[in-house]
Amino acid sequence: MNIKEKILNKIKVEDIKPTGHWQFVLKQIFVWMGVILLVVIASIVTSAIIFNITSTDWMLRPRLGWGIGRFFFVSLPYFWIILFIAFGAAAYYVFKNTKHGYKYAFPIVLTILFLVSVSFGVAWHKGFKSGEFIERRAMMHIPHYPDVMPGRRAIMFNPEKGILAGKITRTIAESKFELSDFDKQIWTVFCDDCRMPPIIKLDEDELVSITGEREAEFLFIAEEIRPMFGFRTMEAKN
Amino acid sequence: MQLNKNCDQKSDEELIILALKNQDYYACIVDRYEKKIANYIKRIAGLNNEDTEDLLQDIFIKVYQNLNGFDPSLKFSSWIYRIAHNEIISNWRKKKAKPQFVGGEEIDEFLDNIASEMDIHKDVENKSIYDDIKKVLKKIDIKYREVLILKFLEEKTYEEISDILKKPSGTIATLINRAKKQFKKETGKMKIEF
Repeated sequence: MNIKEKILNKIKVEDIKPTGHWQFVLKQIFVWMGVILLVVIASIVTSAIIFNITSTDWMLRPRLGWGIGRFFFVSLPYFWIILFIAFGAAAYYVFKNTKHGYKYAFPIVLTILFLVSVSFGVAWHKGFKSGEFIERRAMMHIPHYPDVMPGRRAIMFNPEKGILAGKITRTIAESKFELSDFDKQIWTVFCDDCRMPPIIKLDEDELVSITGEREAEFLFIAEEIRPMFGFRTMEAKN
Repeated sequence: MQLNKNCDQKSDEELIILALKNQDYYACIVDRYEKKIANYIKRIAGLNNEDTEDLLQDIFIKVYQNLNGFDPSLKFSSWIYRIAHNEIISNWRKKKAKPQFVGGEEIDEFLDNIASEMDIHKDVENKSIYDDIKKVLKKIDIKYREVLILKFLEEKTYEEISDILKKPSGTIATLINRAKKQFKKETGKMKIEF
């Protein structure tokens, strides 16, 4: 029996059938859906990066005594940047598994994926404020979230340098309230002569950034209270 | 055989459509590519006849199972070589045997083709050169050896090699250039003169 006969015989004896055309089509649909899903996630992550960068409170820089370069690099949202790289890499890998994905060179695919993710990221950020939504949710609901953003944590939560941030948990009096910091420690904050823009209402669950002086353990005298993510987000919210 | 007579006049694409309706037509595809793929296996994997036959059988079974997945924007030969390439690599991993380049008269063919692209003056009379070339090719990285075989023995175009190895054409061009450089470097190291 020659090789041709062996092959045909095996096909007949083992009743081997060609895989259905629909299965190949379905596989390609799944692969493309994977690419789209990963790009959408990468673009939402991009919106979180844009929000973090644009909402950095540069007024805190002199208090920390840092140079512009140091402040900028420390304030970068590395957690989201790493996530963006991870989803971008996954999107690249899945794209390479599309029918013609292998034909395109690495820099071309990477540039296209980057541009698409960033374009949609800007659109999400501008149109739906997804970056702010994600950041607020992450800050309030993801345990240890500030710990995975050590740079921003150091900028926003530095009581020794007179910077405090967190969520208002209870209003005790007109100029006195309790605040839960990034470590869930409760601080009593006095705001007798502090500057506070009228858009801040000191309501419960409000995320605020405070500058002033630590008077004692978990006791803080505020000089100024600002929205945690900058005035623009607060203005937009109101 | 009437079927075989009909086969010769049909294109690969027509044969696929026919084979999907009547598996007897698959014999025509096997006939057309059996020798080419067997040679490719021997060149890349350096298996003996028995193992080559086993692998050839696996490749044609795989091709048959995937007939519906053939992408008509590719040449059928590129597609079947791609499946062969994947099966050779998977077989190689399974057996953990390093692919070997087999020479003999093929070295002459290889040299003919590579000499036209490189500044090599091939001495066809000097048969002792075969062993040296075999040694050089064994020393070359597998990724380079593979493109050299596809380009200078299988005589595939850059586009076809790109479709077979699933790499961009630019990458293939780079690989071939580097492979030629490595080939020249190794021959220089071994003081082989053509």
